[in-house]
Amino acid sequence: MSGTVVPHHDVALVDLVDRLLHGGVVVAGDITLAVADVDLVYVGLRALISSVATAEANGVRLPR
Amino acid sequence: VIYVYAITEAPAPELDPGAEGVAGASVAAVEHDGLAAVLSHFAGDEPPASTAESLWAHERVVESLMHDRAVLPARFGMTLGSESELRVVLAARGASLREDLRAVSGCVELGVRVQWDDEGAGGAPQDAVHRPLAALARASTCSPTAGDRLLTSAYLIPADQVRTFAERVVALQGEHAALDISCTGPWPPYSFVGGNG
Repeated sequence: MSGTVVPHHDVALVDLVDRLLHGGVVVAGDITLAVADVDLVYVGLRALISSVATAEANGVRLPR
Repeated sequence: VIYVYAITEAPAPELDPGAEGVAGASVAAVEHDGLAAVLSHFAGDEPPASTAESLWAHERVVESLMHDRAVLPARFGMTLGSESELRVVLAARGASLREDLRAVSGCVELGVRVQWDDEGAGGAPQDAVHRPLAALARASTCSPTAGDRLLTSAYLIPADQVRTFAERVVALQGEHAALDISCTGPWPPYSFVGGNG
C-alpha cells in the first residue's frame, strides 16, 4: 500500500456512490437521470481508494 | 416531476421546514395506504443534476428520517410524473414495500471494503473477514472481485450493535495485517431493499 492518506470523506463518497446508484428501492420504471457525470466521478474514486492507508481506513462513523 | 428520497410507514414523518433536498428543493411527504413517500417537486421534466453534492443531499434527507423509523432509501435519480402516479405505485407495490420495511426495521447498514496486495493475503479474505462479520448481521451481501483484489460487502446490523460491529472490524484488521479493511456507516439500508428490478 502506498502511504497516501485519502480523507475519510472520500472513502465514504465511494460507498455513497455505490449505494445510491446501485442500491435503494426502485418503485418506478424510470431512473431518468443521466449518470454519465457520476460514472466519471465513480471511476476516479475507484482508483483513489486503492491508496487508502490502513489507519485511516479503520475509521467508522458512529451514530450521532 | 416528483423526485423520491425514501419510502417509510405512515403517518408521514415530521419534516424540518428548513430541510433541503437535492438542488436545494424543499422536502415534502405524501401518504397512501399506510405508506409515506418523502419527495421533492421539480418543475418540468428536469431531474436534478447528478453531482457529488446532490448525492449527499439525497443521503442527508434519508438519514434525517432514519432515527425513529424504518426507512427504505430510494435509488438516486428515481422520478415519477405526478403524485397520482406515485399513489398508484404505492398501492401496487404496497405489500412488498411493507415487507421490506419490516425486514430492515431497527437496523442500519454498514459497508466494508477489503483490499489486499498480491502476496501475503494469507487465505481468502472472504473467509477471514466476511464470514465473521456476517455472523453478527441480520443479513449480508458480499461481492468478491478477485481480479481487483477487492472485496465489497454490506451488513444489516441492529442499530444498538453498531459499536460491537465496529470493534470486530478493528480486531479483524489487527489479526490480518496483509489486508486493508475499511468500514463506513451507519448507512440507510440501500443494499437490503429486496424486489428491485
